[in-house]
This record gives sequence, structure tokens and C-alpha cells, in this order.
Amino acid sequence: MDRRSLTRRQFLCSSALLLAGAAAGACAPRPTAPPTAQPTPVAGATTASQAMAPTEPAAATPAPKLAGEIEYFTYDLGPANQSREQIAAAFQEENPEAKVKLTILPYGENWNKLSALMAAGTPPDVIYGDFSLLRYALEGQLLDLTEWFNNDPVLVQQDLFTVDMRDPLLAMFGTSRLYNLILGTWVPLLYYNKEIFDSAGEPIPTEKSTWDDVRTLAKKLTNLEQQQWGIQFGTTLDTVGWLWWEHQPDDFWAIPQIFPEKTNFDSPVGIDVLSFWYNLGFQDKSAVPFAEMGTFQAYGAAFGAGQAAMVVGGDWDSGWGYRDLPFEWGVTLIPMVKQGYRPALNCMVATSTIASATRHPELAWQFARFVSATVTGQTLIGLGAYETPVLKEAAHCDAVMKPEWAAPGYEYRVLAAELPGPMYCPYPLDMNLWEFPGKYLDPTVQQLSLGEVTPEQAAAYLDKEGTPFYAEMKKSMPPVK
Amino acid sequence: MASVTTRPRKRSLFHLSLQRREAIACACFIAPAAFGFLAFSLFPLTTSAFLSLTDYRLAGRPHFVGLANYATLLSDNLFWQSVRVTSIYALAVVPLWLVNSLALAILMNQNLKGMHLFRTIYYLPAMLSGVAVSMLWIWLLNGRYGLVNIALRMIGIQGPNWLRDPRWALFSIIMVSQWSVGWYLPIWLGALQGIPTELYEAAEIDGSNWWARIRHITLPMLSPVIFYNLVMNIIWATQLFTEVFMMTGGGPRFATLAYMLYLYQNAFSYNKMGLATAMSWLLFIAVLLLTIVAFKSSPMWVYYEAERRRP
Repeated sequence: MDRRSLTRRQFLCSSALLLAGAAAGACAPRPTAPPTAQPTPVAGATTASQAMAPTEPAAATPAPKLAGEIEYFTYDLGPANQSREQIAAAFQEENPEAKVKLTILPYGENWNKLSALMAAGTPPDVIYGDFSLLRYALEGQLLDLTEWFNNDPVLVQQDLFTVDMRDPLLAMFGTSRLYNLILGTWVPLLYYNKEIFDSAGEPIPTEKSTWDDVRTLAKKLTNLEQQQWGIQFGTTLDTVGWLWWEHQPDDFWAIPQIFPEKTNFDSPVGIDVLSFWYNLGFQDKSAVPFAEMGTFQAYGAAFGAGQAAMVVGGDWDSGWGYRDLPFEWGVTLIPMVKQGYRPALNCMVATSTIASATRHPELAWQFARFVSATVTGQTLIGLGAYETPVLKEAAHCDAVMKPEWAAPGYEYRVLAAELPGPMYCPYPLDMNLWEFPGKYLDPTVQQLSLGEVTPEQAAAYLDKEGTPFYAEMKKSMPPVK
Repeated sequence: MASVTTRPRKRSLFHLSLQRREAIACACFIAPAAFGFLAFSLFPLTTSAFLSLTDYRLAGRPHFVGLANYATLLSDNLFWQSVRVTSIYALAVVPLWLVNSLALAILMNQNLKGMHLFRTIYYLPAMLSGVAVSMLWIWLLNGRYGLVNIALRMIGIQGPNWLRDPRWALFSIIMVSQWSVGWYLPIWLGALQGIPTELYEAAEIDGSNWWARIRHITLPMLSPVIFYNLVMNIIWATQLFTEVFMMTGGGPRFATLAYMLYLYQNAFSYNKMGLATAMSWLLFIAVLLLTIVAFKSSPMWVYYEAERRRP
């Protein structure tokens, strides 16, 4: 039999071809899992369903072995960072072959980095954030979690959660698909400085207070000579959103930030909303001026410095924001609105999203649901005190909060998270998160609070400038896939 | 009969001519820099020119939109506000940088005891990161607790809310920019010490006073360095970013919305890369024009010792 041999030239050519092939293979894009990949049943974590429904199928099915490394991408949550580390550790303990790499970046920097990573096609696997992340879904960058969700025996049982897990996501995104999983809620609460109220002899606001009561109290408690204001507000965008909603809950979708075709401030309701700043800022002078907001050393600005009697703030402040304030403070639900219920941003939810380019979709999903739907994960979320847990068993458990953080107000966090009513999301999903508020809304509201423009002028301006902006943004966005 | 073929002799590197070897060595030495320039300067430059004609949004493919980005900018009020802010800043800081740093350098050029220590002290701010300096000034200029206002209160003046008042914010940024004039010290000192002392001695013998010596010797002899600093200052002034990004975020109410900050916001906050690249090209053209004007005007006021001018 002939023994065939290669010439040196042939050998070199073959080797070069092999090398080139290997190099080309290495440069190829990472394989991605199909978004409709069928989920496997839940892992053997201690779940609420196990506690509440013994026949839950997850307990009967052997958990799949999860292996690999995923990156959990989050912004700096201050004291709550520790809870993220604990969640990663707890998940790894239950899944010894899985590894969760935690990436924590300063707020702001994380969004820029994420944009760059998304553009480069190398995003992190699981991303912590809010609804603003959903714009990536429009670009096909997020994993469609609908089937995973529908096949999950725990997540589909809505009575296990403080909020409806599905509606806000579907409603806000305007599609029939789910792209993120709620892990906690953020709700606004009304905080008050008890010492200011006591010294003025005024009654503290309660669940029964109305917005008119709050305005009257704010006016009474303002003493400009002593640099003391009656009330302080948070971000314009959030406040405009929920004030607007207060007026027209039935026409919820008319909120200008959501699915904007045109702004519609120039209406009785819009004027009413804009009058809020005009009245408290310019007429009553009871709200902390915008120019003063950044001049306080204390966390919580004027309120934190003991120079504002009330503040509408996020629930995280009752968790850790105000824990070191050197005065006695209390908290209650924000007042009832004219329609007889309380607005709550209970769709302002903290979520986990999964990048469609992940190499471990199963592992990423199991991690996300570990955070959202297991007692372990939710208890740690509660301990972080940055969000209010959504799993009832964890949210209603006092032990979730560290004793020194639990009082005051944790009960209000849970109450607020469970308030009935339509969901509210202040963020437009299919456009940039900050462009309209940054360019138009905030400066106009500042002018209003100084009396430089009237509410009517502000409404006309916002409609004039905002409408072409919205139309342009809408036009430039790709269709929903 | 088998034919005999002669293989051409390979010429090793050592058999090349000196000229060729030098050319190869030259290419090798230049290659890293050339690669860096091509990959990190020329490629981004040409790409950005193309992207400025598209609706590129970082994710997704760019679509050609012609000059729409430029048209959008020209009709954007905030674009013009950023041009206005940057122009005011540049008009204020360029002369201030030149005058203050030169005055400081003349002081630091005196033959006094301990001058090296003073030079070091004045140069130190230039060594600090812009972010750190900005953080420092945020607290110094705090309307409520800032040391500046505390000092003013001690002499009976109620200081303004420097960074939060639209009337004072840009002024504050200009003021802060002067803190690092020490950066120019080494350049000025080098130039000052290069002026022949005989010129001063001759002037003194002729009875010229201090100001006459500055005006007729120092400034003309420094004019090439003044020219260099002027051009660089114009470029740097248009690049204002760190201070406004850190200290005011462009506010209050766009009073400090510098051109580069608005460019950054369009690119990374609003995700409008196409618009941002169009802005960068407009800035490039503006700076180029200013530099050309500076160069064209230089024969009228810049004196080069070795230069021979046509009669």
C-alpha cells in the first residue's frame, strides 16, 4: 500500500488554513440562546410556593444542575450593595457549580457602560434596573421572558405577590411580551419632621390628610427668616407623573410621558398640575426652591438638614436614607387624591432583565427568579432596604428588615406597594429617559416656581416644544420586534 | 541531460544597502505611532464624519440622513445656548489665563530666596485632577456652607448662591478656571529665562523703567510663546467640560451648558451619536477657523529672533 505524504508546501498550506479557520471561529459572535427557549422548572430554592402551596410542582421535579458564570450588573446601591453580594452568595450556595460575578458601577456611569456593552454585543447577563431598560427590548437586546414566566409555577400565582407581576410590564411596554422580572417596588411616601410639627403645635399629616391639607400645613410651617420651608419635592418627572395621574386616572394613558404623540399640558388638568409648582413655589413660597436644593450637606437636602417640615420621598429613605437623621421623623402614605384613592408608583419597580446575548440563559433566568420569587432572595432584598420586596411572605415579615431600620415606616412601604389602582410609570420606554424632562420639563417647572411664567404659558411652551420632540423620537425608533 | 538551474541568491538584511536598511528601520520605528494614528485618530475622524450624516444611536445600524443633523442643530435653542456659553467662557478665560499666568511667571522669575518652593506651590493645582478640583470648589462655593460665602459674611457681604444662581454660575466656572494658571508657569519661565540679560542691562543703562522693559523687551521676546499659549488656550477653552459636568451639570437652567457638555449629553444621555458627531465637526471647523485667524495675524505681532522679514 502506498504511503502518501504531503509536500512541505502542502503541509504549510494546510496548517495555515487550519489556523485561519480557528482564528475565524474565535472571532465569530457568541452563540445566543433562542429567546423562546423553554424554561426548566424552578430550582430547589425555598420558595413562597413551597411554603404556601405544598403541592407546588417545583418541589416534585428534580432541579436541573446549573453551571456556568453569569455577570450581574447593577449600579451602586449604597448600603444595599451588601444584599446583592448576599444574594449572589446564597444563589451560589444552592447551585455550587454556578458563579455570579457582581459588577457594581456608580449610578449614571452604569447606564453609559451598559449602552457601550450593548452596542459592542457583549452585555452582562443579568441587568438590574428599572423600566428604562426596556428600550433595549425594542432593539432586540433583551431576552423575551414571556414563556419562562408563563411556565413558572410561582410567578403565575399573582396572589403570592404584593404587586401584579405581569400587568405593569405588559401595559408599560405595550406589547404582549415580558422582558423583565420585578424584584421590588419603589413607592412615594410623605415624610415629616416631627420636631417641627411639635414646636409649631400643628398636627402631623396622616393617612386621612388631603393634598389641600398638606398645602395648608406647608404654608403654616414655612418660616423663611429661619430658612425653614413647609415642603420639599423630589424629581420633577416623578411628581408631574403622579400629580397628573391624580387628576385623570381614567385617562391614564394620556400621561404625556407615556406613548407620547403630543404633549397635552394645555388643558384644565395640565394647568392644574403645573399650578402645583406655581402655587407652592411662587405663591406660597412654602416649597424648597430649586436653587437651594443642592446646597445642603445632609442627605435629603433641606429635609435632611431639618429645614423642611415635609418631603415627598422614595420608600428607600425609610429603609436607609433617613436612618441617621438627627431628629425625630415620621412617615405616612401620600395623601388621598380627589378620586378617592392614593397614587402609588407601584409599577416603579426594580427589575431584572436578561441580555439576549447571554451564554447562559437558563442560569440567568434562574438567578433572576431566585431574586424575585424565593423567600431567600426576597428576604435579602428586604434587608437591603432599598426596595420593598414583592413576595408577600417576605414583604409582610418584620424580620426582613433589620430592627434598627424597621421603624418607622416599613409598614407604610408595604401598604403603599399594595395600593390598588392603575399602575403608573413615569418613564417613557421608547425614548430616552431624560431628554424631555431635562430639556423642557425641569427648566419650565423651575421658572414656574419662581413665577417667571404662568402655568398657562408653561403649558403652551411644553406643548409647542414637546410635541415635535415626541414626534421626532417616535419616528426614529425602530418598530417593536 | 538534466538541466542545471541556478537559484537566485537570497539577499539577507545585512546585504542591503545602508539606505535601504535605514529605510526599513525607520518604517519599524514609525509603525507603532502610524498604527496608533490610523486606528485611533484617522479612523475615528473619518468615521465620525460619516456618522454625522446618519441617525446613529449606538445600538442598531446608522441610516443616512444627509445634513439633517446639522439642520437640527442650527434650529436647536440649546445648541445656540451652548455656543453662547462657550463663547463667553472663551472670551473671558483666554485673556485671563494669558495675563494672570504671565504675571505670575514674572513674579516667579525673581531671584529671591525660597522661589523654588513658591513655584512648586503655584504649580501644584495644575497637577490635580479636574474632577478633584471641581469637587473641592463645589464645597468652597456652596451657597450655604461654602468657605467663600463664610468669608464674605465676615466682611458683611451676603454672597450669592454661586453655582445655583443662573446669574453667577458661569462667572463661578470662569473663576474656578483661573485656579490652575500655574500650569503655564514652566512654559513662561522657560521663555523668560531665555531672554538675554544684556537686553535688560542695555535698557537700564538707557534709563528705561520696569514697565518699559516689560513692554519693549519681555513681551516682544515672549511673543512666540504668547502665540503658542493663545492658540492652545483657544482650543482648551472650547473644550470646557469637566468643571461644568462636575459642578453644575450645565445648569442652573442651562446657564453653564458648555458646548462639550451638550455634545456629551447628546451622545451618552440622549443616545444621539449622529447629532453628537455633527456637533464635534462643527466645533472642529470653528476651532480651525479661529486657529487660522490666529496664525494669519501672527506676522503682525509675533517676533522671531531668527526671522528675516522682507523689506
